[in-house]
Amino acid sequence: MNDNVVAGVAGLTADANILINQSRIIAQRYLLRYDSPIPVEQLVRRLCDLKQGYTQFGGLRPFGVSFLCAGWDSTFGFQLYQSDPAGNYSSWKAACIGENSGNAQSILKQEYKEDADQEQPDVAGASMTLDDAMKLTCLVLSKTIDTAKLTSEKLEFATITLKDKKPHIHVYSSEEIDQVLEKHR
Amino acid sequence: MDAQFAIAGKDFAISVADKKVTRSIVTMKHDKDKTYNLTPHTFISVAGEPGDTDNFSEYIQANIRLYSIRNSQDLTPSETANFIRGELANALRSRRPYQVNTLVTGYDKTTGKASLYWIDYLSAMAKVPYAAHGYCSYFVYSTMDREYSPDISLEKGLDIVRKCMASLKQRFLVDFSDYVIKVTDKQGIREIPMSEL
Repeated sequence: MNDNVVAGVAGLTADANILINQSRIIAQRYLLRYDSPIPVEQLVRRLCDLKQGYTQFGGLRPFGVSFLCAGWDSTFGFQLYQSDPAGNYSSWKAACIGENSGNAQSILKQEYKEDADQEQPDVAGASMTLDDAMKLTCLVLSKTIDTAKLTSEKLEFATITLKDKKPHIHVYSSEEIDQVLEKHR
Repeated sequence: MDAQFAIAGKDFAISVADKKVTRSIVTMKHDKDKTYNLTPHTFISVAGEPGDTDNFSEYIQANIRLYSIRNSQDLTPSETANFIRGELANALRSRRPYQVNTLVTGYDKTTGKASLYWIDYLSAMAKVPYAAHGYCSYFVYSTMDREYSPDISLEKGLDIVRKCMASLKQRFLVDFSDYVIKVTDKQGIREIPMSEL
């Protein structure tokens, strides 16, 4: 969505493309106005305001999309937001949307490791390393997708990290995904 | 004939503005505060066409306040300055532009650094260690240039202010005598009365 926000979508991909385009415009408009990247929650809120607008009146159907938005900003650090087609959004340490999300949620609840030091809220209360988190996502995927073997053909991975104090989004190539799946099998 | 100048140190910034409102050869007012607080840590001082300065400043003040209320978060000094520059640039291309020169003075809570932005009525903007607008700049820039260093203390900053005022008093045609002096730092914005300078 922006240099500091990456989103995963569940639902109608065509609808999602419209919303993603809109959010990119919103983010760029903010950059033009203030010469700084948009705070994550502001972008999520603007996007959800748009989604909520379509629940108010008859005649047009709402956007059939849920989002998981991962982002970083200088005030609140790393953040994760989940949104639904009605435009409700909420902030989480770990969340999931889409098919079998109920099962996935309970696995996350069991396996997610709380932060040892709650005094540092700038890392969203997480003590897991990136590698731990990748391992957990692989576990969740393997238990919720009903194919025998996970392959890069059906999966996409993206991470957001800090590089030289700036947010860096990495979308994994299919080779990299295979490596990750092999590692955490 | 406004006089305004400002100095930014590491973790504080001082801004000075005269209190006169003049028209032709008449002093209409001698107690006008030309500074406007935007957030608890950021303020502007304005010079230029009398009506425009108030209109523009109040417009900016209201919009920055609106942002704070909507987003429960204040804009940083750099975001504030960029916003002001944008609004001024839009107005510049309208039928009647604002003829306003601005100094944006602020302290960023997250980085712990103070900053100063110089913006003129043509929307030219620069981040600077010290700045002045108008005729007074011919007098105070030399003083500030000689005395300034990046690691000055607040006391040293106020000392530079005193020296600038002295040189204006001695050489400048207009006698300002009274100024609004404002400081912003970790504690927020505060005014320093002339009697305590």
